[in-house]
Amino acid sequence: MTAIPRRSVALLPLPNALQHLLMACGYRTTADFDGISSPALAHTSGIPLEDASAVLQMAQGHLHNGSVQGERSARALLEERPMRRIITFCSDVDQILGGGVALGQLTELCGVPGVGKTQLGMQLAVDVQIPYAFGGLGGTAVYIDTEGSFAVERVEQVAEACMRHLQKLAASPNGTSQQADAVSCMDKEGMLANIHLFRVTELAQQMTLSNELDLFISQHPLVKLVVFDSVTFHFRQDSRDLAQRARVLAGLAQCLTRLAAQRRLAVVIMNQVTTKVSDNDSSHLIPALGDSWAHASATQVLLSFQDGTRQARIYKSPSLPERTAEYLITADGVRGRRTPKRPRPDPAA
Amino acid sequence: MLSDLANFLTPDETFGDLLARCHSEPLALGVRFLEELVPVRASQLIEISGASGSGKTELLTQAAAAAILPKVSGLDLGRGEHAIYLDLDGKFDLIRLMQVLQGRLRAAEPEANQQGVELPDDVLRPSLQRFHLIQCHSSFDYLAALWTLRNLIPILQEAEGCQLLLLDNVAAFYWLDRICQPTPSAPPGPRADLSGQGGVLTLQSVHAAAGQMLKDLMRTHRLVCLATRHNILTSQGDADGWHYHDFMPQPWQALVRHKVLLKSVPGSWTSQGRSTLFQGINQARPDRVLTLDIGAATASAG
Amino acid sequence: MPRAGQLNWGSDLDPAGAALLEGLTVEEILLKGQLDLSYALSGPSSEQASRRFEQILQHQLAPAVKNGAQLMVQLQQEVNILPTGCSSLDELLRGGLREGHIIELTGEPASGKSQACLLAAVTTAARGERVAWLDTSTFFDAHHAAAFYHALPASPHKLPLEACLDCIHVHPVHDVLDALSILEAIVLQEQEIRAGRGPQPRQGRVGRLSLITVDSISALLGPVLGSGQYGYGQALLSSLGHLLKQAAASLSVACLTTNGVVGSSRGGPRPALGETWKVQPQIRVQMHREEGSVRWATLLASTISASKGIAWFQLTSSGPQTCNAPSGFTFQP
Repeated sequence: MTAIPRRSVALLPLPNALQHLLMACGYRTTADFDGISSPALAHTSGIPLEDASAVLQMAQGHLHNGSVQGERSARALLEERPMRRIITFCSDVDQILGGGVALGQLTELCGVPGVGKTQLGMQLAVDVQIPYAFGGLGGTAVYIDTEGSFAVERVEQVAEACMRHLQKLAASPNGTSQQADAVSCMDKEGMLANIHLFRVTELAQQMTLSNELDLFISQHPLVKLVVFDSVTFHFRQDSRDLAQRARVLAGLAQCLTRLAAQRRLAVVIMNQVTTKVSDNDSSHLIPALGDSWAHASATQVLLSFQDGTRQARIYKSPSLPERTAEYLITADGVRGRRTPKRPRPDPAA
Repeated sequence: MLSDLANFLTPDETFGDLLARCHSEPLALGVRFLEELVPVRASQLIEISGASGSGKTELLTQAAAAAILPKVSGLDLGRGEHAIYLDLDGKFDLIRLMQVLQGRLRAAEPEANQQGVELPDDVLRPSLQRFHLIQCHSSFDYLAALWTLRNLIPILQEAEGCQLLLLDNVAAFYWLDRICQPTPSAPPGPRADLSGQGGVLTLQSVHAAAGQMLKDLMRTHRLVCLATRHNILTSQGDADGWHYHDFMPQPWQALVRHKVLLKSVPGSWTSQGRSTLFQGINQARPDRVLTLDIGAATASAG
Repeated sequence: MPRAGQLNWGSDLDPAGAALLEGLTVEEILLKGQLDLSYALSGPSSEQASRRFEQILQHQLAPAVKNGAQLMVQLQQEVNILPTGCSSLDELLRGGLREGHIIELTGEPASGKSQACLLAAVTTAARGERVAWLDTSTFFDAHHAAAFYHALPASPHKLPLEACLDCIHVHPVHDVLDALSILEAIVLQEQEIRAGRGPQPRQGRVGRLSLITVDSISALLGPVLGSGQYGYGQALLSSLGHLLKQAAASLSVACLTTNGVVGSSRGGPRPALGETWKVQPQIRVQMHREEGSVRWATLLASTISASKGIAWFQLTSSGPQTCNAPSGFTFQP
């Protein structure tokens, strides 16, 4: 029978000198650490006791008491309460997204300049704050602005329009007392304060920020949305070394995915588009940044102008069908063509 | 005194005796593609390199089939000997070996009918019993396997003879062995050691030890070794030309007697979308390009 | 492997030889070679010690020597082919996913790779066999899996939905070192279960791990390839491949992985991760997007020649389903 595989000591995240010492003492794979205690290891290899404990912990890996750490069965995932989503105030767009922007995932919005990516980003940063009583998340947002397109006056407008809408809902016959209480606590300054804005002016800053985000969010647990507007800007100018760019992009994607999954928040990324010319000489728009970025986000939405109207189309998604929806940019923010249906509060909330 | 001197000066043997003792005929491998590329002799190692999908494992499978099929006089079927296959890549597929065996049998049928020779009925099972596979998943496995061959090969040679050792592929653990290099600042091991590197399986030490064991095996038992080497450092440009990168450590280089380069023929797609044509050269004579067609039953030269 | 002295050498070894062996590791003996061992252990017991070492190697440490007839029996009795649930893909793969193999699905985004993996996982789990799913980009959607389940044909062996989904274990993975550690844990756990030391008793193939899915390998390895410490990324890549291969061979499971493509702007898309990864999977399939929800797949590499060139299928809400090739299509490799 073939033996089962074990990891090599050369690949454990240990300092080089320690690795070499362990290998010289004959510890070649994690199997060689089975059944050894820290004092015994410290004695045979001559390393300090704390180092020996750290090595043994690393060698044990993810197996604890016969089960693999971090695993969940598909059944548990299915029976999980469906998480609320962040709406965009355009019900058609919400519908093609499956109810809104999902938590725990990366959603990518790609489009030409002027199609409304930043508008959608600002709308989402306001909508994430919709109180629990109205079926929203009641959370705060982090907005990372690399292009300098974040306009405070515009966000004020959108926030005020949102509050007016919620007040109307609370005052209507279906409104509950919790809704009235929630709306009375909201005010324009509060909503603006709930959006943590980071202005980024160069690529190095962008990379540092991505790594620091986890720490920031651990200190601000109410954050439920991170908007990255836009991730392309600094990368497109830095086209010296394509291989390095691919690697850096892959690292960024991994970092953001981990953030979204572990902190259970939505990460929305803005990207630009390029033109792809296919074999029969027809051209169509595809997300920028190429193949190394393509598999990063769970859902990609392509925003474009068609016959003078703005259209949103699901370009890639593991579960959503490829549908298209029209949206408008009005004075109140992002809205749909028809009067939007009032967001119904979840009675089980 | 003078008689001692006279004895000392008389020759021990003539040149004819020497040749008779040491000369070896080229070994008939049974794979015409290889035989025409390189003159294969006993105790020699032939390295077959190419990119992924260039037909290296296929060539080894053909050589194995030609060794294990029974020897039928007058036919070019097989030698009826044992063959040992060291699989470091996990790419060996028994189904493919069986397909090749059946292909060779079918190709030999018209010849057999013409000569009135009977092909034995049950050929597959006895042939497969002469095939020995060792799967290695690390350099440690590889060294341990080579060590145990020292006992296995004499047993096989006693039985029906064993002349063929197949190795696929020698660069399988290249990267993992490479990162085991000792750092200059690493403290010396707890005791002064024999191999100088504390028993760490580094790229140099593994191939030095393996090279020594292979050399001993080949010399002692007069084996022919066919080893494949995957080109891990190819770039796009190599698809057209015949480039050879020397990345294996020196002990391995010293062992290689002949180098064969392979590549798949672009555009040789069948209607079903699979490439069946490969081209190969002997690195010492790059002008002579031969073609291997695995669509046909046996390898042919073109 | 620590001290050679810890192995059972037998009692006939003379004290000097035993003392020398006490300090050596097995790796040191292997590296030094056979001649030097006998030389170092000079004395009447050196021959015997040499032979004893060879015995220990052969029976405990070295990989087993299997002859072709044994392999054939093993192939017929122990190695199964797992259907993917999509008949055209099954035909392309000569029946389905073969246990002991790594099968790679490579292709552009939205070419149906994750959906094909999900369908294979649900089809396997519906028979009660366990699936380990390593999810690098949170693509796994349990609702989707349930929809696929409902579209499966009814059969007496088909488990109810909850039991089926209980058999799929999802492991979120964001780091290649984590992936190596999780895979090792999965393999160890399965070994314990099969040895009867696990939590539940089993019957037949029910409850047995049959499929490991990694979605996607390129997302996992992208950040480490080509980084500063030259060769470390390649070592991780090659080590992940070998770990999957050894897991597949030792436990007789199938490993299904997905990979992205690069270079679709010039010269057509190529599988990502380069030449070092190309040699790892035994079977490689490339998937392409056609209009609408139609997709097609071809075999890029296989250990045996393919039976049919192209598989056509359509992405539906119940998973990839076989469909016919659109008229006027010509295959250009």
